[in-house]
Amino acid sequence: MADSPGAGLTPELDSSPAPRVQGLLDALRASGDLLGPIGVGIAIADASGKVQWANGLLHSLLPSPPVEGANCREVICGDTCVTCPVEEAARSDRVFRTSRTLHDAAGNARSFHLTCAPLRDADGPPLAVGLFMLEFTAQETLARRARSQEQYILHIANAAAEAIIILNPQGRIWFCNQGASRIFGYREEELLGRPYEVLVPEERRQAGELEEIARRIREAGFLRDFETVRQAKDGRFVPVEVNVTRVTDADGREEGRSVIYKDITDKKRASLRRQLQASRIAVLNQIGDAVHSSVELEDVLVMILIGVTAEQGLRFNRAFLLLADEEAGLLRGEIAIGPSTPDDAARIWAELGRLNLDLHGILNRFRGSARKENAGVNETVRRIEIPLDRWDHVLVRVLHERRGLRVGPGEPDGAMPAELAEALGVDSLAVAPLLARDKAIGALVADNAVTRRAISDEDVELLRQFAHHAGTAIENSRLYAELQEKIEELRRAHDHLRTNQRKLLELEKLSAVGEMAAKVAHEIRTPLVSIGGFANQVGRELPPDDPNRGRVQVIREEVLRLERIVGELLDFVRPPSRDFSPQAINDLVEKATLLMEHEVRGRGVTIRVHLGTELPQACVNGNQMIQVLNNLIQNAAQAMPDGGNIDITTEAANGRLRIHVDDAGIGIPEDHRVKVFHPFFSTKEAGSGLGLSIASQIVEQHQGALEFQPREAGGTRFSVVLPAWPEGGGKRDEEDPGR
Amino acid sequence: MKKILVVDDEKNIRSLYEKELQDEGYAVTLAGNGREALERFSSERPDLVVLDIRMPGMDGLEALGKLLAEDPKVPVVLNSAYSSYKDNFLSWSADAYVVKSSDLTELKETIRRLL
Repeated sequence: MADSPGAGLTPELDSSPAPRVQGLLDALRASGDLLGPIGVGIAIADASGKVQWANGLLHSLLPSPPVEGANCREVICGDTCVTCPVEEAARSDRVFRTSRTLHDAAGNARSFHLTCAPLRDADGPPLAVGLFMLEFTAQETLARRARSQEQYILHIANAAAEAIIILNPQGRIWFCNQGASRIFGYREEELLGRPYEVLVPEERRQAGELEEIARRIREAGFLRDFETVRQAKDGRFVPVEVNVTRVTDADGREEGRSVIYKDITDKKRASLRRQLQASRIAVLNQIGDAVHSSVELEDVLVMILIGVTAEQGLRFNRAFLLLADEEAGLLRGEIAIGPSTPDDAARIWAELGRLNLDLHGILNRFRGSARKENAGVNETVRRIEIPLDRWDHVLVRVLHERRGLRVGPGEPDGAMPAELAEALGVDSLAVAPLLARDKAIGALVADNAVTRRAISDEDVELLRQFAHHAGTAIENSRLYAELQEKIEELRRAHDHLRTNQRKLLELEKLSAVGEMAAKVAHEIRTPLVSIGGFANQVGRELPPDDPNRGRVQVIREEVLRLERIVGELLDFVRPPSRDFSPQAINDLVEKATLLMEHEVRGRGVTIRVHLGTELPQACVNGNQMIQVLNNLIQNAAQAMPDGGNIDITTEAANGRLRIHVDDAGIGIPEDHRVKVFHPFFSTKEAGSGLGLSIASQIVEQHQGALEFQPREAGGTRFSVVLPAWPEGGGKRDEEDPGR
Repeated sequence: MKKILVVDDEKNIRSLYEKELQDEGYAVTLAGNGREALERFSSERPDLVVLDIRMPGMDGLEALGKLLAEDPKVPVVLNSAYSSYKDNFLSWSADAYVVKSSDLTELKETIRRLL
């Protein structure tokens, strides 16, 4: 290779053109630019490379017009000249072809095919070299454009989210984009040259998918939006949409295929979710309807379990419902549904299949009989009791974590407790908390004990959501029950109020009657005084043997009786006295006894007093309290028509004072007991029926109570119960000398 | 002989008490209402007054006030079919309060005690 101009020129070449060449040159010059229009630049150089002549076209191509006699290297090839074609043609005496890229006057690069042909006599050495330049710039641009388009396409291909794979006619991968690496996890070089089937899972191959795709392409020439799964390098299944196009050459011959995989994992998941959602909504709607149709907790529980196990529901084989018993601190198995054995399962499913029931039908079919018909699993579930503080237990943990979990082998979060595995006879299950208003009230456990179908993420998610709704349903049912109870309570309270109101009305009426009675009583009292008084006078004046004495005596006694009745009546209707003062009850008892002793002695009745010691005082109206005791003593005496003892005892305990008046009389018949304190109730011939009524009324005005009970020895004990004064009975009875 | 003024609007009561108290050895003068009682009291100067309370016109308690204004030392026994006047503070100024009864023993004993 010559580095310097002119080097290597054959010595045979004369520097001046031979005469015959001169003739050619003359002819060319004379032709003007005859050859210009054909697009070929032509120059004649002598054997040393000096340009002797160039046509017009060449002139227009070159930045500076070739000066005749200048070296061709300078005017044509410039710096790009490594091997001088002119010299080469002259040296080898052969046509020499090459190409050159030159910059024209405007600075544009232009490419030329350069052909140099030696000019010589028939057998002499080359005399000169003809230089023919044919521009090919246009083609060059196209080729370059094609090269950059290729880059663009590659760039686009790599930027695409899809995996783009081009197969050669043998079905081997000869191109794959970065998307393919992204989606399937293979590096480019791991895919190149591998057969297309490397991405097709065994299962799909066995299902004849490749044949199916081939058939479609054969028939339609392409495959569009074909949904299937492909397997990534790590074994993962990737849901994809496949588009295949045949790549053909200009003559329609197949050169390969382009395969575009669109990763539709997200789309698929969303659609799965939608499907699940749709099914869940359907189930929940039906469950919801069913729940609305009944508020019984038992029904709600059964419906939940059916929702979990029904083919139209969550499709688990078995479902167990556990409720948190906060009081006992236990998570307790409550109810379950599902076959105990595969035989059982077959029988139930056969029946359900025969009946062709929808969820509603199933709910109705099982309502009320779920526990009985599922005795096996119910026995199982009732054996489950987990302390709520056992945080390590997965069923307790989900309550706290409020999430659904798959429990079983290989679950980092869901280790199966051995006793649970044993109780249920499965090694994997799904569990979700039953939530009600943000509180976990229990757990829903489901498994596929019969079919052993694997529990998917979606199964768990669905169970979780379902359990959430189920929890609310349970809570609602419980609230409803509580509400019912409250309503019942209110109803009772209402009844009570109504009764009291009736009583009040009666009392009001009674009070009006009382006022009237008082008025009448006072009006009667005055004439009685006259009648009785005059009868007394008459009686005194009659001679002892006068038969009218007896009659007058009857008048006197009857008047006295009337007066007593009137007196009692007036006592009864008298407004309560406010004349209270601390008194020693022993004194009151003694006073009352003193007053009554004489009266009852005539009937063969003796009063015996047993006074307690160191008794506190009571804040009472002394006269009224004496009246109470008088009434009680009178009542006791009347209970013993044949005479006997009245025992009066005083005592104190727990801040209360008690005065017991015991008789050994006939006792109060059972059916009279409720009426003892009713006004005007009397079994005695000579009574107004007000005595005990008045006594009771007075004691009540003292914040005390008048009680009575039959005595074991026969007869009745009446007890006046009074609060000790001051409250708590701190002050001792000073007037009591300690008898 | 001690003189007792019996004041009562009931003629039968007056008549009963008159006889009864005369039998007990008292001189008895009668009045049918409060105003009459004051007149009798001024003219007769009784040693003791038995005074009914519920009477038309001037009632016993009003009459009591006026009697005592005239002679603060005269013993007065209030004698009423009502026991409720016992709680009336006007009645506290009387020497005794006896509820009317056909059995006149209490009334007679009270009078005896006061004279």
